[in-house]
Amino acid sequence: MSINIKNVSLIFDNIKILENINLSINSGEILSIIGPNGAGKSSLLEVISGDLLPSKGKVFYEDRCLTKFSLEEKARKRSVMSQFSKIAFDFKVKEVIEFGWIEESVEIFSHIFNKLINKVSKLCEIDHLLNRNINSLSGGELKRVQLAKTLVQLYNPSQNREDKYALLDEPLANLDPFYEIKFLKIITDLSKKQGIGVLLIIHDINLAAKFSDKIVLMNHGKIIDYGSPFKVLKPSLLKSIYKLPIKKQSKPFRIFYF
Amino acid sequence: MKNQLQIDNYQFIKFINIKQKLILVYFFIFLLISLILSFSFGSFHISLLDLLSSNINDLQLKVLSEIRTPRVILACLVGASLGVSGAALQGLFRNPLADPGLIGVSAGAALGAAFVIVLGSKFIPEYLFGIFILPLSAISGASLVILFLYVFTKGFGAKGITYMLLIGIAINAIATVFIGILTYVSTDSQLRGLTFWMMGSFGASNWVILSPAIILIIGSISMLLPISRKIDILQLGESEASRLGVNIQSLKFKIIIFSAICVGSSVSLSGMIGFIGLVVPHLVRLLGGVNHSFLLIGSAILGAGLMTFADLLSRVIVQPAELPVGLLTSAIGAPFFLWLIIKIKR
Repeated sequence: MSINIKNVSLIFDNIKILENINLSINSGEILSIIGPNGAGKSSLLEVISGDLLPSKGKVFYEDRCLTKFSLEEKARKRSVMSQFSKIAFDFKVKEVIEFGWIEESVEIFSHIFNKLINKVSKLCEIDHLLNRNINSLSGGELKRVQLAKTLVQLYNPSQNREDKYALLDEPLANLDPFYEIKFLKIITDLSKKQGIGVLLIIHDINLAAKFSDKIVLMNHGKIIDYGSPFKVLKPSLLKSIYKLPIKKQSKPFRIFYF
Repeated sequence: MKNQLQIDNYQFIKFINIKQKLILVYFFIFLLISLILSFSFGSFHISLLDLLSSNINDLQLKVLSEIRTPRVILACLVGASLGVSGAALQGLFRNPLADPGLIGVSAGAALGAAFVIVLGSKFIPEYLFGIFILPLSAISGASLVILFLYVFTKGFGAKGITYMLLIGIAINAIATVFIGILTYVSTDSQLRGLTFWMMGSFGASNWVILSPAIILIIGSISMLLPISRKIDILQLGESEASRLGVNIQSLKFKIIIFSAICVGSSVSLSGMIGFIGLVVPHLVRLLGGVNHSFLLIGSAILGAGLMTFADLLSRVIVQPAELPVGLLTSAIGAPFFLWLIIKIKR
């Protein structure tokens, strides 16, 4: 099962943000998007999540056009993780994680609900923060709360398991190296153990190479290259796009850019 | 799936924790005490014991049923509706300083009322609407403001919340100008009526005027309570909430319309009563937590209790005369508001 993006273009005020994008995100795979600032990565993610309507082209979830999904159906199908805006009231961390629960009822699944919140907060190492005020957290702690909320949304309590997708916009921003690796391991488990299709916007080229199944390299709203990490991450290509002196080491695979 | 509707409407209760449920019970007890005291005290005293043992004579019964009960119920309803709409609007604007007056609905209602008080007898013959003319005109004023908001923001959607706030401020200013003009051209007795109406009072309440308001206010509150969970999720921001399956357009629409009906019908019957819509939600948050599932229903009960109590005070402080209750709520609410701003700034 997969998300298929077909001939998608996005034009705002006569500026081409995205140009003729063709891509598919498969269940159980991590697809990373890399590229310089302003390449159109986040816009592409917003088109795939259904926040933005493409000017041309279509996005399909399992052969069904995204425009035919209701908001609730979309919320069940995919979970988006991006920067939080500031929350005006002093919600508790636990309450914010619970917002990810999109099933109608808490009653029916009440047992699962509490278990899930506990499990997810342990996984993201925020179980000691659950009763803290959300506005008192540091940037990194906030990121962990966001990941927990995303995981809650991806959880599927009903028996008929349908494929779900995680769309993650720079989940590693603000994290220390320990949590960078921790997050990537959680994301890997998500895709390999739960069969969730992951779209990951990431800046660290080496982490992308290590943890992704496929890499998309974007620049100026276009896909420059698409495929396995070793195919896409060619020094000559990266050099022309990032304008940095790029060197490659084969064993272990590393890209050096300074 | 057969009981989906039921789940949709009442699922917010599941997000009220045990501590909060206990606080709701306290609020309710406070409301009950205020109600009982209100039935008893006033310029015409009915002893508590007689009231509770229903050992009352004809005169007492008449005062109780014709004058005091409608008045107390009106105070209770107005308090609840101002509390709920304040909480809902603060949630919608994601701003703790928002107030039902902010989007201009109260000002619209006030203008409608001022129009009738000053010019009513010139343009509208008395027999046409009778005693309903003042509330009707106030509700029309409030509805007109909502219509303006709707047109200018293209269905409460376009250009964001800040834009809507600015429109509200502009409407407030325009209404104030017209009220000023009306005040300027009014005669002395009209001016007195206008001034007292602006200060707010529950004195003019009777069953005929009250009954449509009961339906409107209880109806709107029962439409607002079930969306409280969605208002919670809205706190993450509009795009985030819509990714979690919340229809932002319809949510905004419901909050604005039902708050406006609440505020419009309250203002139309009791005049301008300041700060309840602002202060009550804050008290509820301070006491029990910020989630709207708890906040909305808590604000309704505490608002009703506080308003009933304030009305009681306004009747007994300067007996046998009475203080305009709006004056009383503003006198207590305004310093609280100031304290709040200083606290938030810190």
